[in-house]
Amino acid sequence: MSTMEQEIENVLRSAPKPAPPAGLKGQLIAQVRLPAPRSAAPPLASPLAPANFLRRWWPVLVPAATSLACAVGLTVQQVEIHSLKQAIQDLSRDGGAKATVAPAPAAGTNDAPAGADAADRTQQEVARLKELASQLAAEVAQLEQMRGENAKLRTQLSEPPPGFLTAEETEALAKAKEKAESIRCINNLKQMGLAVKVWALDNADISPPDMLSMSNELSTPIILVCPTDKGRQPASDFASYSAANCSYEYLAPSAPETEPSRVLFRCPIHGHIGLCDGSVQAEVAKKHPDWLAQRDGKLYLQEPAQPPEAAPLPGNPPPADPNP
Amino acid sequence: MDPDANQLVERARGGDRAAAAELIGLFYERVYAFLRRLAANDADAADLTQRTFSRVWQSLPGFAGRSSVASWMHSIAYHVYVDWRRADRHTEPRSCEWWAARPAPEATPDEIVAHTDLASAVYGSVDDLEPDLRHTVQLHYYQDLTLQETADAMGLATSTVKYRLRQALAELQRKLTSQRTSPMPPATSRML
Repeated sequence: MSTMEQEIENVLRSAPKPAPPAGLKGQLIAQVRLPAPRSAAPPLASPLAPANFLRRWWPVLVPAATSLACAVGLTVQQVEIHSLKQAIQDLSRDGGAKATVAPAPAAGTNDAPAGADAADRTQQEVARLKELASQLAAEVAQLEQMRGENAKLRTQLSEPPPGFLTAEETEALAKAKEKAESIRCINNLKQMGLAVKVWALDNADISPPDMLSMSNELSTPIILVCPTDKGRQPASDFASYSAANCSYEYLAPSAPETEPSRVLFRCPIHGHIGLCDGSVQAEVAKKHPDWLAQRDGKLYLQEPAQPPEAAPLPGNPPPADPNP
Repeated sequence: MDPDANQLVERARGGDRAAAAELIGLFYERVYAFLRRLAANDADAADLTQRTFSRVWQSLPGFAGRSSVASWMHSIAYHVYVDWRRADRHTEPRSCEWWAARPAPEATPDEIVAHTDLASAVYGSVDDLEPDLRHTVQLHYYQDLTLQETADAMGLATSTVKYRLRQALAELQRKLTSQRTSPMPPATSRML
């Protein structure tokens, strides 16, 4: 409160009292008309009288009493729960002690036959366990022997003995293996080209800026490694992918899809190329490097008018001329 | 005072005229002063005081003792005043000059001189307050009723009385400040 307010309050409290006119008191006394006293007039109720107090405060007292009763009930319950927990702990402790004491009964007690029975049972149990241990040891030895035989067989299978295949057969097998790897490489390029086209569909017909950008369109990072590239390991997932996990050259990052003959991917091992139109040309970079023309830093496939004998892979025809 | 007043009321309810006379002696000055401030007229105040005590005797059997006798009396006086004003269509009195003409009888001349200017301004400003605020100030400050007694007399909650008093003090402060800044002849000169 400010000083001025205090000052105003002091002035108000010391306000002059208008004095009553003389004779007013006498008039008032003369005009007293008291009502007739009632026989059963109730006495003045003091605010602190019990009945008046209860009548006035019962709306508060009832919820307070209810709350107090609830609190007392909860306290009693908590005490009982605590005592029951204590009893459970005591019982479990006693049970554990009895269990430890039971196997070794005191000598000279009256229950000697029971102690002898227990000793017999223990010996039988020990014998049974020993027998079980010997059986298990025999099984382990048998398993060890089988594992050794398996390893021996595996080495025999991986290294065929000389004379198992003839030289021609071995060479044919190597060629077939090499061809299979080449086909798998072409398949990889096809899948990558398809992924580029799907990505471009969602991104204004522009190819992705790098391999990682189209990770959602690629099924697995394994297809980014050429099967013949033994020195390179595929990434376990795209989160751990790096440039070292890719065998192929990506030659058209962020390129428009309007140039179907532009080279998109190239396998440096097999010389396969993937074009922007999604097709793959086998071994072009290796056998026909003159078909590849560099213009403005971009690589294009330019087949001669009459292609030589190096035909495209069967089932993988050369791309149609966009401008017939 | 109140315990004795309660006993007096109890005795008066039993038909004791002496107790009734003692009650009149205890309260008639305060009741008259209160009604004099409300009515701003000696004759009306005396008449209203008589009406008030008449109603007190009528209401005596119904007094339950839940409030103090002082607040009960003031409540009756206040309602008598309100009824009177409504019935006779009296306008709200404004008695600024009354305070300047009637300083406290027990004050010394020095105190009168020191207080006159501020007191006249304060009392005049109280008379200019809204009726609700003015009656609250009169009951609490002039009649020396407590907050609870003031609330009982006016039939309000104590918090409402507190709020009204705060509002009244702020209003008085604002009025006094504006009076001090504006050129105004002091009350002493107006007295002369």
